[in-house]
Amino acid sequence: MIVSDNDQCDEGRQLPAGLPAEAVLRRLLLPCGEELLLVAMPQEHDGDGQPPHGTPLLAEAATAWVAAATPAATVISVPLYGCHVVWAPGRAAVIGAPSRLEALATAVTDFADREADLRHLEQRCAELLESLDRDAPHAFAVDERTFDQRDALAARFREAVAVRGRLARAAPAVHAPPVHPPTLASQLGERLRDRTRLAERHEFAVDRAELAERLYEACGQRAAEFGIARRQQGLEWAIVVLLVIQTTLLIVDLLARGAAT
Amino acid sequence: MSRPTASRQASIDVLRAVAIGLMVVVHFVENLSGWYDGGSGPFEGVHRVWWLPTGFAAPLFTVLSGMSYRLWLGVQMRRGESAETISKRTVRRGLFLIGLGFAFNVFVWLPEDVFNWDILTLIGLGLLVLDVARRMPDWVVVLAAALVLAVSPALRVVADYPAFWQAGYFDYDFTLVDVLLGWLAVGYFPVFPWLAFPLLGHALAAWLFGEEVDEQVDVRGESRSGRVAASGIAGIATAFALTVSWPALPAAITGEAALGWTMFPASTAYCLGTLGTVTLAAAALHRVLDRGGQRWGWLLAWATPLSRHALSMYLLHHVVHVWPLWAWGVVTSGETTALWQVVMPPAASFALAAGFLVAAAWLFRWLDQRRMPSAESLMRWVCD
Repeated sequence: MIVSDNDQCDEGRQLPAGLPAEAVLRRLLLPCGEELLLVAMPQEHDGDGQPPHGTPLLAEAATAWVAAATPAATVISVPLYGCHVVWAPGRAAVIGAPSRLEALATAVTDFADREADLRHLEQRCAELLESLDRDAPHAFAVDERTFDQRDALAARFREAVAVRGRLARAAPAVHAPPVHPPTLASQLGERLRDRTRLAERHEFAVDRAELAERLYEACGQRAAEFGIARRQQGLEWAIVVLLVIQTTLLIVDLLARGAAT
Repeated sequence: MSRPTASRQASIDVLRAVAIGLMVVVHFVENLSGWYDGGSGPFEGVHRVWWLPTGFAAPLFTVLSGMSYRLWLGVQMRRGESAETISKRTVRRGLFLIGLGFAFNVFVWLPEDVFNWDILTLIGLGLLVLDVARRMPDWVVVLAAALVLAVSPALRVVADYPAFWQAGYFDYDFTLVDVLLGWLAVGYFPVFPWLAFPLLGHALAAWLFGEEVDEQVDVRGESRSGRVAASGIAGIATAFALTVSWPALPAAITGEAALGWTMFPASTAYCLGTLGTVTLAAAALHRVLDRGGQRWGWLLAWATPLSRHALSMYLLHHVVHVWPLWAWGVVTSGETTALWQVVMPPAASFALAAGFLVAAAWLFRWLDQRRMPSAESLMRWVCD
């Protein structure tokens, strides 16, 4: 999932203050299009395999740096087997033994991509829901003014279908069962998914997209029925006009004959 | 009472003011001087070049009645008025104009001309028909107008149009047959073909201004006004071709009652030519005035009061020149119509018409500033 070509992966940028000099900052462009700044901080363990005493300080500094990018977002902090991972939308930091850093970075990046993708889809669902109340009456009945909005309604239907399609494609990754035997990376991914409630958010987004799709599908049907009815009505009116003209001709003819006699 | 609005379709105001100007001039000169270019007669011949524009006043008024109705309809719908309320107001307004038309005929043209089917009765009937037409798709409205235009020459032949016209005037008997035939085909402004004008105006407004406009200026109609102008040019070209080719057409087609370019009866060439001209003018003015109309403020300052009080102008200009004519005739010779068309030379009546227009524009601006009542406010008070 990591985009690692040189153009898009910018290693060795200047480190933020408070982070150790050994840390490596990478700017990654995720497949979903969002950017992720990832700091990898190698830390040698003690002889007994325990994390060194400085780890909490490093985690604090990492958390502060991650939280600084998106103050409104919740920062997820996951300590795991002597390692520490901090994540928020757009930034992440991994602290651990050098041998584990790459696996942690891969897991965080993979998760960040899924989360960003879902967040975008949630945003699109929210925009659809905003117009839902306004458009709900059109699913029941359509008039001339509504008919003129059919292009906008069709665009929202296409958007709902597109969102549902993206959610369907994201479902296997979001609802993936735990890997057996577990690895450090898989456990990190599962914990991040749990902490961010990725599966529930995905289900809610699916529900909202379904609702929008049902509504705009009904709107489309009503608009199509109205269009067909209007064409038929036009023909009926044309027949009425022809009959009126014919009747007028007859009346004038009768009146003229009456006047002549 | 007239309520000035901040934003109106300036093009319609100017077109209506032009129609009023033409109408006032032709009526003053016709009724006071009766001058129509020598011996070609008042209502016939294609040689009245100087007077040709005067034949555009009635088409302008009737087309504008359809356009204004469409815009008014848009305002009502946006205000959330129900279809029933809109229908009631439309029918009341139509009946008001028809009743006013009959009263006008009686009090201005004297009781014997009550059924001469003048423009007010036509516009009133047009409103009644437009209340039905507004439910139709636009293409059906255009089809109906085309059919009205197409069958009118045949109706005039069937009704024996020339038998109703003596010395250039509609001369009917007080019989049901004559009254009905006058209304349908042989009066001054009969349903056939004059109903086509408000119908096409109704469709033209939608085409030119779009569906979503009221008094607000539309800024989306760049390409639309070009297409509308092209259709206007096509109408003028067809009318020109019909007029030029008229002598070469077989007598079975031309007929006795359907001449090349005449207003009475309204020949097909005349209808197409005036419709084309009105359409072209509406498209051009829409392009010039409805966007960036600030430069034309001086023009609108005079045109808008005249346009807003078109009905009052129609009534007032007749009253100020016809009633004195009747009164002076009675005083000098004992005959009401003794001085009709002979009281003064055309130049004098033309000058009077111009003076009246200036005075009327000033008067209606003054009335608007003081929010004084007028015929239009009376109609709204009665009908809305």
